Parts: sequence; structure tokens; C-alpha cells
Amino acid sequence: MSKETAERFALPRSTEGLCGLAAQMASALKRLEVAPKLAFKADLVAEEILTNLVKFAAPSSGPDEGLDEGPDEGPDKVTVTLWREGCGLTLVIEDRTVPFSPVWAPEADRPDDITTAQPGGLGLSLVRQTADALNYDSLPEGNRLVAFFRG
Amino acid sequence: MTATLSVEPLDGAILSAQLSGRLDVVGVDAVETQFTAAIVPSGKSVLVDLSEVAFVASLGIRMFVAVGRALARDGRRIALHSANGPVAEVLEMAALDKLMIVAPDRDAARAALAS
Repeated sequence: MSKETAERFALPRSTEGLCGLAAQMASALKRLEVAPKLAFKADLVAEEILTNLVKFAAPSSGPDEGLDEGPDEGPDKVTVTLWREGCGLTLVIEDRTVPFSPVWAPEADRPDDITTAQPGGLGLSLVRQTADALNYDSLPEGNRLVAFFRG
Repeated sequence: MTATLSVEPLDGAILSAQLSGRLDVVGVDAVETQFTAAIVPSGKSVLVDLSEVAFVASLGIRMFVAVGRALARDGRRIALHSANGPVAEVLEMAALDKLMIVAPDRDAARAALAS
């Protein structure tokens, strides 16, 4: 199985999109026959990235070109692509928001006292720890994150 | 699959909560208010059984930290237990055991609460 047999879907960058993510991921991962442990990791990274995109990202004002735009992929959509690479799995998330690299963004403080801990700020840390490799590209009109998971 | 919650008293000072399903955006949205309302005003510490939780993301961790912090204000504690493999790995990545009790099973969690 390779990139030629990739699973690809687009979601609105909205709460509605987040609500649909789990089902779309489950369907795609099932069609790719991804092992449960690997599927969990891809699911987690997609969930965290899309959550950040919905909660924090601002739309890009860049040129509306560069992403392969299918019938379901408008300017404020997030496109998710998955394919198997040997025993591993590649996950690509493309969006059209202002440039932001999950790879290089500063790490949130990690509290060690519950009385002063601030809830939140953990998502990117989980992404970095879960993916075996992460690559970020700033596109003219958005961002592309590539995560690889070893089987 | 979203998340569900049941809470029952275990003894005089402890509640037992059972979460199940996915603690993602949708799941946390479904149970967070109920989880907080059942535990924080109760005056009791809580054991939280995660054995039926299939997925947890940062919003789920955030829910545990928020409740744990509220309980700590008056000396109460939250103890998570029985998380399955991948869910336990997420709790470990989040270093949640530095903030609250994270135990492999209910007996260990209860013993840690009593200590």
C-alpha cells in the first residue's frame, strides 16, 4: 500500500468539523487496515491538530492556490490524507490558516503541582511525543503538517 | 461513540466514577459538566475508572486537571485507575502522575487515596 492508495477527506475548520473527525478517521484507518495501536496515534495527532486549528488559528489571507482543491475543499477546510508506508503510516494535515508550525512552537510549561496547574497547553506536546517524525511546511496559503508513525 | 459517565458513592469519603467511550472534543463536551458537578461539590475524593475509555486527547487530560485542582483546594484528591494501554500511554506522556494519583487498578488507586 502506498501514497497512490491514500485515503483523503476534508472537514470544515469548525466545531462541526471536529465532531466529524473521529468517524472520518475511523473509516479511513479501517480501509487502510491500520493496526489499532498505530490508528490510535494517528487519531490523537489529527484530533490535537484540528482542535488547535479550530480554537486558535486565524484564516490565511494568502493567495488561494497551492493546495489540491477538490469539490469538498473550500478556503476554510482542513484536508487530511493518510497512507500506509510499509508497516508505518503517514498522516498529512493541510489547512489555510496563518502560518504556524506545531514542530517549532514553544513547549507549554509542565506543572508539577496540582494546586497551581493550569489546564490546557498540552496538545502540541502530545503531538510531538506521539509522532515518530514530524515535518512542517509553510505554504503560500496555509500550512502542511506531515506526521509519520512507525509500525 | 461519545463518552458516558456514572458516579456512585463508594464509602463515606470517596466517590467512584466510571467513564467510558472517547474523551475527545465531542466526548469531553458530553460529560465535563456532569463530571465536575457530580464530584467537586460533593466534599469527597474520587476514584475514576478509565477501563472503558477507548481514547483520550488533551481536552480529557484538561478535564482531569481542572477537577483535580478544584478538589485540592480543600485537601481532596482525584485518583485515575485501570486505563488501557494506549490511554495509559497518553496519561504518561502528559506526566499526569506528577499532578494526581494514576494507578494500574482500583485497589492500588484506593490504597493511594488512603495514604
